Amino acid sequence: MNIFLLAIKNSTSKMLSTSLSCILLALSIGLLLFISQINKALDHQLQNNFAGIDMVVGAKGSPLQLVLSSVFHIDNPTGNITYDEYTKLKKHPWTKEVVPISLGDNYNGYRIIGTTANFASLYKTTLEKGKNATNPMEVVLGSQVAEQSKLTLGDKIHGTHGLLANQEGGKHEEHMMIVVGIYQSTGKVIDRLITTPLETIWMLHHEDTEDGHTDHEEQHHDPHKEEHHSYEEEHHNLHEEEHHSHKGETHIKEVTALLVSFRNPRALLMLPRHINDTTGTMAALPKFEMDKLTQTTGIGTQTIQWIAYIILGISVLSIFIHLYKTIKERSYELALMRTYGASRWQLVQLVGYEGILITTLGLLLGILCSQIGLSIMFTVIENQYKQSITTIHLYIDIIQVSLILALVISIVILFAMYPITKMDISKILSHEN
Amino acid sequence: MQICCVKTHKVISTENLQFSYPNGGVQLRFPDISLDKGEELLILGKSGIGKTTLLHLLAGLLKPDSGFIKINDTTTQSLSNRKMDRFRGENIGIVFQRMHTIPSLTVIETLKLRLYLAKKKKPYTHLDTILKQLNLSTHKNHRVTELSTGQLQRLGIACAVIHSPSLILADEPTSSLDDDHCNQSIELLKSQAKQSQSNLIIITHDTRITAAFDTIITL
Repeated sequence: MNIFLLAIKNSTSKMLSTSLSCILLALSIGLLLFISQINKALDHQLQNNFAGIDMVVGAKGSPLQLVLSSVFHIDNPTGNITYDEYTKLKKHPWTKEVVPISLGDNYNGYRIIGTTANFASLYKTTLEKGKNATNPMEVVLGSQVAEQSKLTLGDKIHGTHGLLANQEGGKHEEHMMIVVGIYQSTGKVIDRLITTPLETIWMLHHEDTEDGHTDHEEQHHDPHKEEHHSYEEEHHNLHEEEHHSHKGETHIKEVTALLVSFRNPRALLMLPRHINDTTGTMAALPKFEMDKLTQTTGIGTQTIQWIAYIILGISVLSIFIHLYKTIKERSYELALMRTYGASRWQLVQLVGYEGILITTLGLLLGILCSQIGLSIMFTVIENQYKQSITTIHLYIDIIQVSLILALVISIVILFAMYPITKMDISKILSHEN
Repeated sequence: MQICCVKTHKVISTENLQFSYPNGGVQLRFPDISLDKGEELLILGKSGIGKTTLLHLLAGLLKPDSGFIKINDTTTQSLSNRKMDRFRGENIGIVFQRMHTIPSLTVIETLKLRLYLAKKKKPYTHLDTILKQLNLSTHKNHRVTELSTGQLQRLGIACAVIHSPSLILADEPTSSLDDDHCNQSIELLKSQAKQSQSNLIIITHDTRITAAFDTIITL
């Protein structure tokens, strides 16, 4: 029997009060870690996927939508622009690199991106096996696509019209694409993309438009849905109609967006405005758009963070009350221990251990809760958005939270223990009742 | 010098003890006590006359305004708080009027804690012997909250003698007991004190037990 054991026995004998303090603490710690990790993971995911893209040029519409669709591949594109825009911008002295992308099809929810060979170098990835797709109908898979779909070199796949899996778009049944390469894993968006030369998309879609009967387009012309169409969609329709009017004469080559990196910082100030003012296309800056977005969503996470801090405050208070009550209610017990030969310091230890025990348990439980929460959240995100995100520097968060907690709790324990130092054993013992 | 030498023969001695509570009140004066090894003493007094105060002075829970207390050649009032805690733990056992306990512990755990705090290492067989003598063996692993008043009283005695202290102090150990239990408990206290060769000082207003003692001081 020693002081530590006694502290454990004391804590377990007051299960209700102990577990209430523990659960409150665990809840706040769990929330704090959870929010912090979600924030960090999403932020990391964003930063990671900028991939040196300074500007995106696409059809006019919402700049945020353009950035989301062409940099993060999570929203629908705003529309298409002509291939000429690509060649013009490529020649511009301020641009270092311009990579065109063409969206419109998916394979099991993984987007098929028509692009050039430079696309992979944006994400600093190289082929893990196989070769680059140089001919139409050849595709290179991102690492996650290959792994999740169990595809390997030489496999043939059908693209599906649209950007989401199981969408009621037409399958390009007659066009088989062949897997010729697989990229190395990067942890970036390219892992969940299927890349192919621009010509593949053109081939698929020109035939579609020549048929003129794809579901995709029917959907757009559905009169019942007309009233819900946003400006972008209408614009898209206009654009497509324009395209239809041209189709009889020449095939106008189109792309969805251009991913641009600047040669020169001056370009950041001048080029987007220039493009927006003088061409029919729109330039959007990913960093600027994402900052705007996180500022808005930040309010939500900040609120949750404040709630977590408030719960932390309450839990700390409950620990204080728990300890203070212990000392008040057990003053006779503590006095008795003094007559048994316990020093003041040993009584302080007893109460301190109890506080530390509750705190440690709460902390561990909180970490466990946050881990469970995070893994559920990450699985949901992975399944729904095909984004693989992981915890980042979790240990730093844990250390941070632990340090804050250690500081707060030691102050609480000190305050709660104050009565011990003022304890008058003789008085307590002579007022037995 | 001579006085000093005479005092060393005694295990417990007090001289000119005076005490007054800080919030005013009367100055309490106590008769001198002087006991040889193994001697027993009964201190009788009415309520409010300062019996518990004297016990607390002897136990070092209070410090006298003047006079001195010597236990085993140690002048206890000159000890620091920490040393007094230690000294008390090792050399003094106190039986309280009502045995308060640490509710989260069992009978055997209470005794083990008592030994731990007194910094005495005794074999656990020793604990079993005492529990047997006090008729508590069957309740060894029971929570103290499950014990009856009589059992609690006996546990209190066990706690006071388990570490073989030089001095056992008992504060009104019989006031809440009927005649039978009263005699039993005094017998137990006396036999346990004898066994551990401790001095026993009982402070009480209960005149039923005067017959059991040779030395009696009336306050």
